[in-house]
Parts: sequence; C-alpha cells; structure tokens
Amino acid sequence: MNLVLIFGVAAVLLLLLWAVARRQNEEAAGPPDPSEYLVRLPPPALLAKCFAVEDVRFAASLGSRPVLQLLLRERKRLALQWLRLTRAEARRLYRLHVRSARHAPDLQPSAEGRLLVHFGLFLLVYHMMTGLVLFYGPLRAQALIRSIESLANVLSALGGRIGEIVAPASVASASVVPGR
Amino acid sequence: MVSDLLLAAILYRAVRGRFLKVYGCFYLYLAAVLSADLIRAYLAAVRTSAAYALGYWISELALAVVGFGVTWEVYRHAMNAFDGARRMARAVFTALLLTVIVRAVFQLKDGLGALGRTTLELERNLQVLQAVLLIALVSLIAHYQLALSRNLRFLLSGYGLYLVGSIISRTLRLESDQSHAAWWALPSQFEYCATLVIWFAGFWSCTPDPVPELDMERDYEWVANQTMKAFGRLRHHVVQSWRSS
Repeated sequence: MNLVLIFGVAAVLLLLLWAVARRQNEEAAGPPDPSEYLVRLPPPALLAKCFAVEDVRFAASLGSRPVLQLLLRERKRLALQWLRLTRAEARRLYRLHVRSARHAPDLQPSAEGRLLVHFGLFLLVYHMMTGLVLFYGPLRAQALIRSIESLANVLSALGGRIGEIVAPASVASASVVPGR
Repeated sequence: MVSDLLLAAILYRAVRGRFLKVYGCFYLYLAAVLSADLIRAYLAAVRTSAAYALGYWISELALAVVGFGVTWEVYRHAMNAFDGARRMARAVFTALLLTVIVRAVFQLKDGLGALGRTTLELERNLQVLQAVLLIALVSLIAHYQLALSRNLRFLLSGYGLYLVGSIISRTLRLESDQSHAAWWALPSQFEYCATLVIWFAGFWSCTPDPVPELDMERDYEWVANQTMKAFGRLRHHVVQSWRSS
C-alpha cells in the first residue's frame, strides 16, 4: 500500500476527530424555523455603489491620487464584503438543509450529492469572483464579466448555427440509411 | 499488566452498571482483547516460542477483524435517531465496501500474498480499511451535525486515536530494517494504554443517546426543492447584480 496514502488516511482521521470533538462542545442547533427558509440576500444598493462611475470621475477630477486610491480601495473592500455576505447566505441555506434532511426517512443520496455539487459550484464561482475583484478591482472585474458573457453569447449563437446546419443533414442521412 | 487491569476495570464497570448489552459489540471487542492477552500469557509460559508466535499473530489478526465491531457500534448509536443520516451512511458504506471488494478481487489475481506480504502488513491494511470507514462515518457525523452521547464521544476518540497511532507505528515498523526488534512493542503498548484510559474515563457510567428535539415537519422532497430553489435564486442574484449594476 502506498505510504503517502496510509499517512494521509491517518492524518485525515485525526483532523476529523478533532473537528467533531470541537463541534460537540458547541451548542447543538435546534429544529429549523419556517422563516429560516427565506433567502436573505445582501443589499444590491451596496454593490451598485461599487460600480458607480460618477464617484470615480469626481475623485479623478480632484486631481488627488491618494483620494482616488482610497476610493478604489474602499470599493474593493465593499465588493468583497458583498461577496462574503452572499457566501454566508449560501452556507446558511446549506446548513439549514442539512439540519432538516438528517431526520428524513426518505432522503435520497443522489439528491444530496446533486445539492453538494450545486453548493460546490457556487463556491467555485464565489472564489473566482473574489479573485477577480482582488486582482482587478470591482469596476474592471465587472467589465471582464460582461466581456466574458458577450463572448459566451457569441459562442452560443455560433454553436446554434452550426447545429442548425449539421442537424438537418444528419437527419436526412439517417432517414436515407434504412431505405437503402 | 496495567492494560489488562484497565480492561478488566472497564468490563467490571459495565457489568456492575448493567450496560454491557447497550454497547455489545464494543464489549465483545474488549473481551476478545482480554482473552487474547490471557492466551498469549499462557502460550508464553507453557509452550514453545514458535507456538507463541503462531498464537500471537492469529490473535492479532482476529482482533483486527473484531475491531470492525467498534466502528459498527459507533454507526449504530450515532445514526440511531437520524433516519436521513443513516440512509446516507448506508449509501456511502455500500459504495466504499464495493470499491474495496473490487480492489481486493483484482489484487487476488496476483495471489493471496498481494493483500499483505506478512501478517503485520495484512493487519495494518485491515486497520487502514477500518480507518477509511471511520473517516466516512465521522465525516457524516460532522456534516449532519449529529449530537453524540458522552460514551460515544469517548469510544470514537479512543478508537480513532488508537487506529491512527497503530497505523503509523506499524507502517514505520514495516519500513524499518529492524522490524523484529523488541522495542517496537513499546509504541503499541503506549497507544493501547492511552486508549484504555480514555475508554475507562468515558465508560464509567452509561449515558443515553441524545434524542432529536423534533421530527421533520416537512418531507425530504419539499426541503430539497426549497434548497435547490434558494440556491438558484442566490446564483441568479449574484450573476444579475454584477451584470446589470
């Protein structure tokens, strides 16, 4: 057996035991309240503020570099905070589901797996967006997202056209074969 | 000697407190360990060294197999009141066991020796398998935030630490040039005694398994759909906000 695998198994077990022991000391969560199922989204106004070009123009017109840098830094902080709030809401929703599902006698492991994949994808998008904001700032990140979206639309339209051209041909050839 | 005394004390507490049956598989494992120790002591005193070595390795292997009962005990008590988590655990265990069986069948093609060249290696591999099962179980306990009784917490901690220590020391022993040296018995004795101390403290008395406060008010399908919809709304909100702001 692979040595790395063996020591890895031992390390993972040790970490999990520590995590469970730590969690058991915390107060156990009670049954979920129906109001908890409402999605509490972070305010869109907070994000709109990050993308307001007028403020940047005004700061730029002052001719002070430190002021402009301070504004951009604060924008970045706000955008990251907005993303963090969204992630916190996603985590809350997932934990709520787990709290409810643990009692379900008709739980479907495949549905649980799908949900886990959805949650994983959400986290992936979150980390990608956080990375974009950290490296480029909210304004450039938004422009980048728009560019990617328009590129995706172009690709999708092209794919659709190719499909339109190819599909009738394949249908026609398929209908010819049996009658040969 | 100290370990045998601790073992006897744990068993005595269970008999006196009348909770031997509550953790049947666990106490069966402890009884097996105590019996193995007694048999080994007898073989060491009366029989030849070859007979002792044979008895030692057979009992070690048997204990590694009986040890699966401890994992079963954790599963039984932790998932007892949680139908959903139990269903999930069953699915995960089935998948894991199937993987292990398929792997073992492929290894058996190369001959029985491929599963473990020596008894020590085979025993270590069985413990790694137990550790993998325990990882799956502990992950589910953590994921579904299941409350554990005091007994179960100590059982899990003790056995988990014993497995980790035992796997590491056996692997190092297998890799070492002096795998037959007498001092290799020291780490395993230490792990064993530490585990028994944890179990002795945890099984002083019997604590009932926690009962969930309320049963699920809605069916699973409703909850799963609500969560899916909520995730959909959240994703839409994130994308739309960045697109249209």
